[in-house]
Amino acid sequence: MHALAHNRHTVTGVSPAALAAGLTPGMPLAQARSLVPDLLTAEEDAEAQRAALTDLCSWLIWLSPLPAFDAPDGLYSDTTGCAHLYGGEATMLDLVRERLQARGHSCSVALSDTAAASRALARSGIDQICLVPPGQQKQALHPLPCSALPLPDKTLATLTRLGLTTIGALTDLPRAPLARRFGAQRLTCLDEALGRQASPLSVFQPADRISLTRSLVEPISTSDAIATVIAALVPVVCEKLTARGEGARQLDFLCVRVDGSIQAVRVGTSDPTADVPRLTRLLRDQIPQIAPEFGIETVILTVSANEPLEARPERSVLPDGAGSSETGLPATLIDRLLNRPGVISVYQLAPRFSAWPEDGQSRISPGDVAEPADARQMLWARPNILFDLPVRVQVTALHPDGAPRQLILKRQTYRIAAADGPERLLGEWWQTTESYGAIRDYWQVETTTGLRLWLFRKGDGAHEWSGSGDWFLQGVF
Amino acid sequence: MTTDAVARLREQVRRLERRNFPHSHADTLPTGHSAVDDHLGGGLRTGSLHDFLISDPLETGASLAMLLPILKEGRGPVFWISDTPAELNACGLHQSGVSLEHLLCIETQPDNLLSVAEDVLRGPERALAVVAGRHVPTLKEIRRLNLAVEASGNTGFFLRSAPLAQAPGKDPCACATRWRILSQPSSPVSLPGLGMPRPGSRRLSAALLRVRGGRPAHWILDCTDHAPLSRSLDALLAHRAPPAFPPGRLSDRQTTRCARAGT
Repeated sequence: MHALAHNRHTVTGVSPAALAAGLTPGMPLAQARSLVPDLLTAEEDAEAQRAALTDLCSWLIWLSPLPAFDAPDGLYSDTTGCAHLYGGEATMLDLVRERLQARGHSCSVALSDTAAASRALARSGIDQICLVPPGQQKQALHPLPCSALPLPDKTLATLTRLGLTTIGALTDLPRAPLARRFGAQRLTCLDEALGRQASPLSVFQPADRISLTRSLVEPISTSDAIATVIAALVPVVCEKLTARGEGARQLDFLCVRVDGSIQAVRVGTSDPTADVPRLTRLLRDQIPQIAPEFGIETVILTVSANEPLEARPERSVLPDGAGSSETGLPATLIDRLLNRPGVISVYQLAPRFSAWPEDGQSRISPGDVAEPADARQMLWARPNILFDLPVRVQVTALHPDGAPRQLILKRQTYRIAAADGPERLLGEWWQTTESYGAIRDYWQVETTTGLRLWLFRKGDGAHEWSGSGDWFLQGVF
Repeated sequence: MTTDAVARLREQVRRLERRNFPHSHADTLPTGHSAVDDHLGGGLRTGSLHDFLISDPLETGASLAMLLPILKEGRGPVFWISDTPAELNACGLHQSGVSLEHLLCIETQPDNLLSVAEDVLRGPERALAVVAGRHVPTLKEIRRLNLAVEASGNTGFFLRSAPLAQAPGKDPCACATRWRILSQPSSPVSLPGLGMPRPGSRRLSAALLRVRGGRPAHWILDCTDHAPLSRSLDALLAHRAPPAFPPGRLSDRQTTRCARAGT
């Protein structure tokens, strides 16, 4: 990792292997490259680092509710009163390190009375755990170099020139000349580390997921019991969502069984919602998917995707008898159908411009019909029922105008009493070569029994290049 | 007897008659045919089920010609529930006046068809549901759906295949009405210059096989929405392909005219 600083590239972060090879952060990149010729470097991305640190900070909330940033690569956590939850301070630090390593980070952890002292201790000892008993941070800080304190480079250089290399040497000096020489700000820095002066942390409030866990007194296995649990959990989740002004797009309902396995159910909604009956019903419909077997002992309800709830009036101000709310598609019902087992697809039809009628419509997901229904003028009637695969029929056509007289479909003969046509459609020659010059002549026919059919003939009946001259049944009026 | 007791008794009777629902006032969906509407007292009742028997797949269009105007009248979105992909055509439905924005197609597995239909019909949302499936619902299943539509006021339509020879439609029926709609030959319109007459306005033979609390009936209906020459004559004649005459059969005058036109 390297970054541009003062018109030259400087190494800002190194891997353990590079550290072993003698590279250190702060070294010029050119020097590092001369030391290790096949060095793999990447430019520092401050934005991504900040995002990753934010991510880690919101993860750290498991430890204590008060995490804070120490930019660019550190985190604070105020664990006052939390240590006993993890079995003591030493165990807690082990756990923190273990979990951070499980996430792929190398870290050094320090715990002391003050945040500044912990920071100095953690930053001076790479890859180790440092636990300072209460009131002893002065002794702990004594041998540390001054660079462990957040002092500017200029001050550090002056201190080194004066021979003050450790914090201990600095604390032994009389305060008044020190303040006069380096300014009160430097002294504050030292006081914070030693606990003489309290410094507040700016605590990070992570936007955590809304997740509810309920451990059940006794394992449950009936669907009624699961429904009761759902009915108890959903209002709490909805209350939390409403307090945030957000709505759920996806809910995960996890049931931990007695044997340790997890039964997971996931439902999605088409728009953000914090509506209790709607979410309850969505989840309740999924109960048959859950196999409780020996019983469920813990349930977890998590909002895995949420979005801001759009502010809109709950009800129209004017009472509407047959208003737009009635004719609009009900989102709750569509959600239910989309999440329902046994439903293959839910779609709406939209006309599409295409030469051949079988390609003339598209299936779109519900609620997407934004464009008004097809406005292009259609001179000819179109059937209500359309076969995607035209059915081959045998037709006796009446020459010379090509009107069909008789039709044989599935060995049954239909005589045609009336016909309207032909409507000539031309293939999309700009799409495929087969459609070049392809012609279809469409006829609306009525048989002697009154059936209304939509037939077409491939080709114009005279030229071989325009089509084979076979007849097909494409639709029913 | 105090008025309080009378009110209570009235309430009991109302509940027995299943009229305690807010939409109990008889709402109907007019069919658009005055004879049918008069016979049914205004049209097909909402909050009930209607059964349309289709004797042949090619006859589906006749049932649709009856059903689509009813769906157009109905308030609320239309749910087309089927266990096979619906063979509906967006352009044709648009021409029939059905709003595509309010038409939602649901394809289900065959076993789940009726349970999905029940979910749609029972829900608090307004809905018209068309159930198209091969499965013939039993009386028990239909009664279950009947309870759903009575509770919600939604209306359901069954479109099911029932060949005339195998299922004459006389079996007991729990739906409010049962129809068998067949095509009837129309009176073709002959226009000069056309080899074949054009089909006239669509004619249906609508048989009301069963109706709850009413008499069966049969009508020959003319669908006025397919009125002949609903568009202007020049538009009608403009977009036709030229008749394919064999080269030798053109008279001299026609040949010269074709030559002058550059064809």
